[in-house]
Amino acid sequence: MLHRPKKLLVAAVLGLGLILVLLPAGLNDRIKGIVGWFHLPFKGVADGLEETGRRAGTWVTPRTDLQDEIDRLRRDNRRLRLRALETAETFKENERLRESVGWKVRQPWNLLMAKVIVREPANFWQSFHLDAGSEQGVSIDDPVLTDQGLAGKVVFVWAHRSRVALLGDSRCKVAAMLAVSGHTGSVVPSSSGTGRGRIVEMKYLPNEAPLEQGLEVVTRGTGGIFPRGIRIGRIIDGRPENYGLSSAARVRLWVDLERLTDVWIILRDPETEEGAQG
Amino acid sequence: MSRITFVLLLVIAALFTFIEGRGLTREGFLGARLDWIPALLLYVAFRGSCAQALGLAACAGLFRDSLSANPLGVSLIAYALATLAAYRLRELLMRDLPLVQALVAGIAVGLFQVVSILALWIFGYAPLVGWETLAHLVVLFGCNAVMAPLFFVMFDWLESELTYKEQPYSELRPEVEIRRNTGH
Repeated sequence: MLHRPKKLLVAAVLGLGLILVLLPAGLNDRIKGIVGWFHLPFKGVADGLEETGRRAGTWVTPRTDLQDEIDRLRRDNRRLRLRALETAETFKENERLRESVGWKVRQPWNLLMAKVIVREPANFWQSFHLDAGSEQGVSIDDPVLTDQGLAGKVVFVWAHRSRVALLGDSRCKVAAMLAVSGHTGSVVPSSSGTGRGRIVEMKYLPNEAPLEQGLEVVTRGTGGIFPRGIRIGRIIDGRPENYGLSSAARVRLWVDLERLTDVWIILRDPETEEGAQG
Repeated sequence: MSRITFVLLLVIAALFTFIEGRGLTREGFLGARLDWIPALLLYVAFRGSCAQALGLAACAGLFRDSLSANPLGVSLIAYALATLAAYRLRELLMRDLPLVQALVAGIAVGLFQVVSILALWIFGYAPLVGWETLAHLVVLFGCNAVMAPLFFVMFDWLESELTYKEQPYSELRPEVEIRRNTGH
């Protein structure tokens, strides 16, 4: 048996844990931000080492390789500028048509680039922290994506940091549809666990939905969080569920969530927000 | 365990959680995120006092939760319970045997995972649990079973280097030589 002071100590530690868990979610996350300061010295050292490694890499890379890379990037840049001009013209035409039909005019995305600074250490969540927070205009529920497709959404914001729930996490469910046929469903976590950051499930699909391997899944844009048409992944296989009342499919994500280093956040336009609230 | 060793263990626990948060401890084959803290806590539970063991468990839990999507406090409770179990059992085990250290570290990490998942369910969260969780448990068991005996060797050596060794008292003082008067 433990002696009385030891019993008190055990009760104090477990009591502290219980109190912290039972705090309201917002307050709990704010305290997390404060505890996270203990990692700052390590972060400083790690960032310094990374920077030194990067600089050392530039010293050993031959100048001709760098020049080739610059030339390639210049060519890509020119090609993308032309494509952007073409897209801008199509966008304007599309908006004019939407206006004439009386549909809501879409706003261009207000994008912010952010770096992944912390990855989830526990095995039962899919999340990471970004180096942008409320000071940079990030707010809760902002979509997070890469040039390959959707990654997740912001679920908590500190001043200079934010936490993102990734696709496949229980806090990030997405209204989705099959790009070709338009059948709708919901993207939810894989029943096997984390899906190793690549596999999720699309549920509540109608029975007549074609679930052939390779069909593309995109966002539906009806939940008010994710814009319509962002690429999510491709169907791996399908099966009936709910005693044949609906279908479900495994989806391989376009984005490898385990290897992400930089992402884009779609910031909300404050004017649109005010308009919506008004 | 001396205070300086305890402080060093605290720093190492913070460093481990930071390394885990940087994503440097991913096991590629089964996709598990490795956690070496249970092996570290086992060392303190076997060698330190109850206050030191629970103190390290609480700090390590807070450090870990601050980087995780877990609500703050879940890992604290799970680490504290796993550490307490090891502390209570230490007099009943042959705790200096590497095999015992390896097995108990493996069991401790399993206990930590199970308590974490149960606590999350009880408090209304929905952790991602499936057959992959079993694969993760196997990987974590193996990782901690390997690391625990190494930690014992390393920190025992550190403890011996950082603290004064107690000298056995003796009437004999080898540095004092009695010279006999030979009459010269």
